[in-house]
Amino acid sequence: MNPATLTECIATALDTTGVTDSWDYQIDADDNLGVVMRLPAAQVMLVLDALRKDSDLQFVQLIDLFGADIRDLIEVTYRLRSLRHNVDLIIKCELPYDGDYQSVGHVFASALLPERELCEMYGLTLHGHSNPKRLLTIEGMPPFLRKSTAIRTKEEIWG
Amino acid sequence: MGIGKKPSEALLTPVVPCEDEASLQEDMLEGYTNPGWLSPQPPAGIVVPRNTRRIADDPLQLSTDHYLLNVGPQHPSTHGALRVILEMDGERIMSGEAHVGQLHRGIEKLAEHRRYHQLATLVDRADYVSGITVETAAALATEQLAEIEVPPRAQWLRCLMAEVNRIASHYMWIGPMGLDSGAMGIFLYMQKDRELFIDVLEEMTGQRLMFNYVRPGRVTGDLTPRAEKLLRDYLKIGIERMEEHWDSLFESELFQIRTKGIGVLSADDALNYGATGHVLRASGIDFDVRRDRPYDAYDQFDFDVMTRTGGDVFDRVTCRFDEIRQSLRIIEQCLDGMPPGDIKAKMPKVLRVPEGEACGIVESARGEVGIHLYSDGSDKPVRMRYRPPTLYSLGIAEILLPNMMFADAIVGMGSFDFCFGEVDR
Repeated sequence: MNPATLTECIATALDTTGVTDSWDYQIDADDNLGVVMRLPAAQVMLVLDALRKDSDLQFVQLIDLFGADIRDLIEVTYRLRSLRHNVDLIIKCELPYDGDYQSVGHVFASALLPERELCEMYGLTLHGHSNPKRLLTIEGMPPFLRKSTAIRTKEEIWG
Repeated sequence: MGIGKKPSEALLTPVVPCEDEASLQEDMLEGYTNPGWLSPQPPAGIVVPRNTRRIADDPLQLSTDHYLLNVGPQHPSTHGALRVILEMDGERIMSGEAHVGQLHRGIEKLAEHRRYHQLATLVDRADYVSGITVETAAALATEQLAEIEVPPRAQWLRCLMAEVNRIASHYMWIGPMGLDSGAMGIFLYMQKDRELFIDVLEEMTGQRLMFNYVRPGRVTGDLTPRAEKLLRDYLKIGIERMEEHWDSLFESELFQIRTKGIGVLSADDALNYGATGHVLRASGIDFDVRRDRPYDAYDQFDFDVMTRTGGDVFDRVTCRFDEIRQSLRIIEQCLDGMPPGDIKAKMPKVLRVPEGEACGIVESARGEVGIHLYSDGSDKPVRMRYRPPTLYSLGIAEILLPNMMFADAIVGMGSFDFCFGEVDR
């Protein structure tokens, strides 16, 4: 399935859900990543749910969920996979530092563990999760993957 | 008891005789006023060996106070550093929660301070059992960003070494699976075979575990005559040895009793919980990154993707065992058709890649590994994400634990092949 067709299918799928009329997303085709969809964080769960239930696209797997510090904002990336069309879709949203992250665990259960990691590593607050604890580190550790948290390597000190 | 032969009937002490279970239930319930218990039937499609059904519920009101049991992080059956807190009712697990993080070294953070060709060293430390495959993922992502053309011989060498490493990793897993389920001998035989593949890796890369072999645009060593001879020698006896391993472990009725019908994962759950690799294929979903998203030279090889339909522990183990045979096929094709030429693309000493993002996905020994790189145009990545397949398997283990017996839980958790280097990173 080429990027143009996928873009059309996604637009059709979202229009026919009837959940809301004010979808606010933009879709680009990236050379390396394939189709990338950017949307506000409030609509992520609705879009994931709609794409999963869509009978044509069938994005049944959430392959990966992670964050990245892009200076002043945390960018959260979801990678969905449709086995029927053998295609991946990247969905990105942005959250402020120390923002609130709404769990998508009851849409895709695979998000449950990576969400805990995401929130502890970037200092986000996890909402709507069945077990909202830290995953890898203990209480009191700083959000490690933020750029403001320094590690003391030779490279960092000497450039 | 001879290997591969059926044990005598006396060895198999029935837990609950299956045939006249109904009359037994009536006997046990006589005089009690709780006829409401029902034994859950095994899921459709699972053939449970005769006489192996356990008492599934609480007919005599024998349930005790629940207690918490800590397993690990140093318990040998946790295959690394997994700590599980189990809520137990007698020997039956009510719920389980995994505590991870004992091996957390901040590899993703460290990668932000390394140049692109140094990423291979770091990701080796993440998945320390099948390093070549994850190095390939890092190299693929960098090559996508920098638009590097890899010479064909280097691509074929990557596939060859990845398959050698995959077999070594699978042997490293199936042996301890035998230990978990009570079979001692198979571990020693598997280690003996694994040693050969580790020897090949040492000959080619200079290391036995942390290979640092696949770099962006190249590999570090060409195929040596000794490595080729070792592999060709094994290919002559390989299939026969596989048959022996099959007979000694999988044909054993004791092993089948311990694994069939245990830890059943449905296809829906496998998809929903993000399973990849053998966990997904054992539940009946036919997806393999090597075939469906071919990278390097995998589109030029002839191999099958092994699937099962049951989704229990036995299917997960045998599914992976069959993958070893397919890996041997790929190795044979690699050795026969290795193209001549250079193993290095022309590269600058310090690689600076254009701004952007790229994701390299590979089929590692445990499932799909994806390395996602963010670049800002400098010589170091802004962010590296390592997708650990066994982190997602851990979520699956948590839902499979309830209502298992404790001894089954050890086998069930073993069947996912956790590698805590990559769960914790």
